Amino acid sequence: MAGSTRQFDLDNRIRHPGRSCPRQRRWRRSVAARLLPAFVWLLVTTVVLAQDPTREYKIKAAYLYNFGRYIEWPDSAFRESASTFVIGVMQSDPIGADLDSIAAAKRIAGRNITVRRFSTAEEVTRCHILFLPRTAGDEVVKSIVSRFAGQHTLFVGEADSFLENGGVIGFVIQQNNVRVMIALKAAERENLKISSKLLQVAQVVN
Amino acid sequence: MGAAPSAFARQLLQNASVRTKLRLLTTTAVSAALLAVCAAFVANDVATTRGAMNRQLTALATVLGANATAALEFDDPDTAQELLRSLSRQPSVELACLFDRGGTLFATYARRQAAGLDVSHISNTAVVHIPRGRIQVIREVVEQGEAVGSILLRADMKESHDRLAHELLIMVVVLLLALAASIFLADRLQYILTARIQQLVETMVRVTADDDYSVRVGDLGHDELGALGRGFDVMVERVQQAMSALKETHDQLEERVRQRTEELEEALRAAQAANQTKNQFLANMSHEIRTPMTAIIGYSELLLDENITPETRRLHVGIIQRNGSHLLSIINDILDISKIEAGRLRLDPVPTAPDTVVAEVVSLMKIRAAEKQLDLRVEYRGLIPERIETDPARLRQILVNLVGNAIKFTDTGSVRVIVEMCTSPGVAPALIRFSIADTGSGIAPQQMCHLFQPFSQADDSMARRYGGTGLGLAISRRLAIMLGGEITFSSEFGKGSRFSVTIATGPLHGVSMVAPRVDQAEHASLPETAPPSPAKAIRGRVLLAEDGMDNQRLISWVLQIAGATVVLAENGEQAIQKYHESLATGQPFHCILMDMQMPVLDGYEAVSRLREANCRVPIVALTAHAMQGDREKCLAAGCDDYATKPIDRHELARLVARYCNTPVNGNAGCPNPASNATCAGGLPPVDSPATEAPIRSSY
Repeated sequence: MAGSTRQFDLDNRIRHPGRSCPRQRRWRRSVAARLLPAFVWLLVTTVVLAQDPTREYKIKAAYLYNFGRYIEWPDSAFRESASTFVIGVMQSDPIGADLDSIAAAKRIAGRNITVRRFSTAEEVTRCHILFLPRTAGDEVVKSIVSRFAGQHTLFVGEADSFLENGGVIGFVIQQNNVRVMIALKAAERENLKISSKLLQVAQVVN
Repeated sequence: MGAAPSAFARQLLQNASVRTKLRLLTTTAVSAALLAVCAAFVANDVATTRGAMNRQLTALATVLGANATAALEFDDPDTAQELLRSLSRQPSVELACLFDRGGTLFATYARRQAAGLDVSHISNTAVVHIPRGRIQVIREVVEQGEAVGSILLRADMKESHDRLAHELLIMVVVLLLALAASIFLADRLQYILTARIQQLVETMVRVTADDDYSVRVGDLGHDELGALGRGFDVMVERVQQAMSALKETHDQLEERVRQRTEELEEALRAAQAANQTKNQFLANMSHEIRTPMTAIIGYSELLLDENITPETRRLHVGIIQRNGSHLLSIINDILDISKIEAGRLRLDPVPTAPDTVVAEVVSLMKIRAAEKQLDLRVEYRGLIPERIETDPARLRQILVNLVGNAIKFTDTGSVRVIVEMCTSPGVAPALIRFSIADTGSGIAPQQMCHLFQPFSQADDSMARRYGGTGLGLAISRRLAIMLGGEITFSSEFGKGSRFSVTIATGPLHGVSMVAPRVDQAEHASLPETAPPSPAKAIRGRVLLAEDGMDNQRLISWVLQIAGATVVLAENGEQAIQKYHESLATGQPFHCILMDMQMPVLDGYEAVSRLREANCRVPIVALTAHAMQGDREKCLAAGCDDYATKPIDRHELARLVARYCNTPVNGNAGCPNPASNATCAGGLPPVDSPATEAPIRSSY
């Protein structure tokens, strides 16, 4: 019953958030107070995903960061050891400030994170992760991919044809959830080592 | 457990046998040791198992967590679920929960869903409570140093508990086996101990129950029990010795008590016999004294009758005189035998010529022998000593008695006195034997044993026929024994008896042996035809000091008949006074007769005073004390002679005549034959002083 579906569990959790035995209530309250922001974040990312595009992009922002941790870049991808990890975002930037706050708080492989925003294809410079939203269009994607192909750039997109256009990881919405698809050949082309754990949770295509 | 049950248990334990105690001890010790080992083993096993389980679970959680990071971060519960499902290969893990970064349950796995495990309530904050028999581990899930969630693993300890139970079961079995083995071994070992204790106990029971002190425990070895056994043996040995010593003493004591009892009984019998003899003696004595007394008193009353003829009077006086003499002889005999019995008779041994004594006796007895027409003869066989050391008076007494008896009991025939030495000269002690053989009635065998007992004659009828006190032989026998010899007799009833008296001769060195002539004896046996009368024999004045009126009259009458002039004094003082008066008047006394028991001044004192006053008149003491010491006492007081009461008139007359007629006084004694006519018939004649005087003087 417990492990039947994750959906059921979550609903249950939301409807009765504070339910527990009285013995643990005080302890629970203090812990709950500390964990309140996390709850809120969880609420946003999971439940309101369909109705709220902001939540979808919050998840995607977190995923972009996560990619940096489950994928290994060759040393040559960085000019020097102190170089920052650069995440670039194209076009309309639906991810917004969430990525900035993550970049300010966290590090990837011991490096500080720098977020760059590009409004046009021409503006795009070399990044370690480059997010290309749906709004970028196939042509733009193709041109940018072709321009930076082999330069150890993780191309992340959300268009259905993104992987066909040479992207490495594509987001898909499945069952109200953001799922990841990985094109192994593209990853090899960019000389990126993807953690098996990431591969386990992603859908792999060639 | 209360105090009473514990006390009861202690009592029970105390009363239990050593075997039980040892078994209990062994069992308890082994059980305790095994239980301790088992407990330690189990405790260690539980701890080890728990620790191992914990480590295993932690490792598992770490691995699972590490694998689940991507699933958590990319929000892929299915993958996480899949991952957790791999735990199905670990049967002990019953629950696994994966929580995301916010603590929300992300994925779960429960091995036994039907076990009622409500996973819905589980969160990473609600897993503190761990059900019984479970072990639980919560680990953070970390990816590149960043916590991305947490994982909870809960394992069932049942497997290890089952294993533990199995081990416990094995342990219990081993414990029981070890216990059984230990009891078996302890029994075998304690047999070594208790068998010997049992041996000790059995020996002890035999000793105490059967009183058998000969049993021993024997060698029990060299340990404490051996020492106990040896100690016990030593103790029993000592007890045995003590017991045997005690028994010996007891036996000795019993034997002694038995001996003493016998002695006492013997003494009692002797005392009773002696008492009876004494009573018998007293009764006999009383009878013997009363019999002549009756005759004397009776005939005296008859004499008081005026109308009796002189012939009858003579007859009565003769009877009175005879009975009086008999009474005197009885009293003398009684005194003799009582002195002998009391050990107060003293002998006066002097050198004595045996043939002289025999001649005296024969001359005394020849008249009586002649009266019965008996031949009284003396025979000397072989040589006899000229003199022997003995008491002649006692010897004479014996011979007179024996010869008298022989004459008394012989009607016809002869009485012979045979004198001989019964041992060869030089062999001490030398004995001389006087045998008196008669041809009389003899002694019946049934009377022989009573012969020497006082107051026993052959039978009562004999006493009437022959007279006699019945004391003669008893006295003679005692005297003979005192003189160092004895009296034996042989007799053939109806044909005669032969009494032999032996006496010690005393030392015979330098004593010449002679063969005396028998003419003397034969001569003595010749009957005297005309005994001289003592009448008018005394010429002189005699002072008689005597307080008793009758005796005064009797003695003065006797003396006056004999021819003396008698002056009377009633006591010692008067006697002294009369003596002085006689000196003053020039008519001195020729002899003084002094009674020793008198009032005012007794005889002893009077004699002493007279002798002090240089009186040289012969004094003859008169006393009723016929005891041995009296004579010496009288002589010591200064008397010249001694006469006992009752007086024999003839003897007294002769005695006084002897002193009155001595030349000292100028009155030579000259018996007057003419006086024979006045002498009373039947009275013994007065012999010549040569034969008669020594008899009385030595008495």
